[in-house]
Amino acid sequence: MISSPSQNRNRSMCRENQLTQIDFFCTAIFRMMHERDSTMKRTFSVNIACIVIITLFSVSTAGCCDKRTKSADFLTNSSHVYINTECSSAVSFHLALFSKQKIHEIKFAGLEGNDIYNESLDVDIYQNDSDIINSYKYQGYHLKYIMIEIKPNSDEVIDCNFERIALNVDGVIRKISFTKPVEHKFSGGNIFTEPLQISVVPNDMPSAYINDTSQYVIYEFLATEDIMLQEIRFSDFIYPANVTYTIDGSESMEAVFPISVSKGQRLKISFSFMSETADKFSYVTNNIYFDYLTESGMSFYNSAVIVFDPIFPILDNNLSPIRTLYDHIAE
Amino acid sequence: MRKIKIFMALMLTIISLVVIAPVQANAAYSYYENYTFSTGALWWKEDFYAFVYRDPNWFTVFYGSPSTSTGYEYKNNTQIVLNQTTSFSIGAQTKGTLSGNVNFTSYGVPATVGGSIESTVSASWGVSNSTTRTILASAPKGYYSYNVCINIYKVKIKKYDDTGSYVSEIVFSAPRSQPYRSIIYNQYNATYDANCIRY
Repeated sequence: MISSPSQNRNRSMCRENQLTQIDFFCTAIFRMMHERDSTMKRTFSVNIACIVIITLFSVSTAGCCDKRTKSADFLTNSSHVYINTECSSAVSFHLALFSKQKIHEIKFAGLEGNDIYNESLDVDIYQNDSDIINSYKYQGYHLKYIMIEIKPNSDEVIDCNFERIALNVDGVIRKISFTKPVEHKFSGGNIFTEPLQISVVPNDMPSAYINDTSQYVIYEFLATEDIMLQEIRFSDFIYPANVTYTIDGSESMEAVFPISVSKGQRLKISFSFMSETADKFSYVTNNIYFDYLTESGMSFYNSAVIVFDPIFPILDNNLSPIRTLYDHIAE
Repeated sequence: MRKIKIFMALMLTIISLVVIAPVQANAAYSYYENYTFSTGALWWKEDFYAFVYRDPNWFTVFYGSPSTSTGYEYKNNTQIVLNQTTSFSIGAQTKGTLSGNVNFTSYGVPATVGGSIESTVSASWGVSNSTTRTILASAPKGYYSYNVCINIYKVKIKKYDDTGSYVSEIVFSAPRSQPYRSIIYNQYNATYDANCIRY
């Protein structure tokens, strides 16, 4: 059986509990017997009694541990999910559920965190898989790839930060903890502004792009007035590297900020995505910002919600990313 | 034999100096590699030199089909939601599929002319009413779309004969990335009309 790091922690906690319990009972029995009698015969009886008790406790607490490790029937990639976004309409993300039993129905049960009010949120769950995934099984596990979408049900809700989500999976409540708590603000999102109009904004990439300098994408803009591009930044987790640009099809140049773009010029800026926390196994969603100044000194930005997905797109029906994701989680 | 080799090396050097200089100053093409090839056999055999230049600042937009695009929606003063309700996929892409009107014969194009990615494989996304992108009311008016894209090289091959005389050239596209998805905007038309190939 393959165990996750949390299961290993559970096992070591169980062993510690066993030892503490055994210690406690042995001490109590010795004290009791010592008070009554101190003959060798009685001591021998006590030793026998201790052995019996130790055996009984070992069996019973081992049973307890077995019950806990039954969570290995169900694994998720929540330790590799990184979410820090701004979007006025909703926060949404994908979650991979690996289960020994084929999952038929998933219902939302609740969010848990220090400052979360479930009553103020509407949560929907979409099964975001495909036929090829539905019929696939690896190491005895079926995969259910779901999308969780959380919307505020009033204008007063400004953010949504949580550490755990509880799902009712075929009648069993599964509490899924995120190593990095989910952070979201219900404002902003895809902010597109007039002086530097967007033309092309890539925003949904495979996670394999992360930390791969050969995979760089092009963001394209049209300046409707003279602007100075000040900075390209992400809200979290990712930073741009190897930034180059062209203006009106000029030779590609290494970017040194600020970049001046005149009215009517087309700017194409390309870069790769680097991270010190995320990698090709991670599901990442955050915002990208292009900060710029107009000639009059007004500051603007274009922003978009960006997603890196470890499973989609599936290339040539090749499900090896699912296998490597599972192997990585199960380590 | 040695003299021939020295002569060929000399020719390549001269052609490099003649050919690379103007192209480097010309837009975003940069020199990538050169190769030699022959056509015909026996007394019809001809030797050629080819110089390859690449421009990485291009991409392909797959649209015109609900399976790869939401289609263009006009946004006026209110918010719109680009919504893709079906799973979608694109087939494998090669220099041939991306450059249907280009005749590659007589250029001896090597398989790795595009670099590390010579062809993409087919790609699919599973979607159950989940691919939506919201364009806020404050965004500029115009046509918005959400599409599958891949990055490509624009490749130019210039062909010279064994005397160093220019013969001809071809320009075609070769893939340089796996697919991803982009929001695309055009203020005036339901199309994307800058540096890209519409598929």
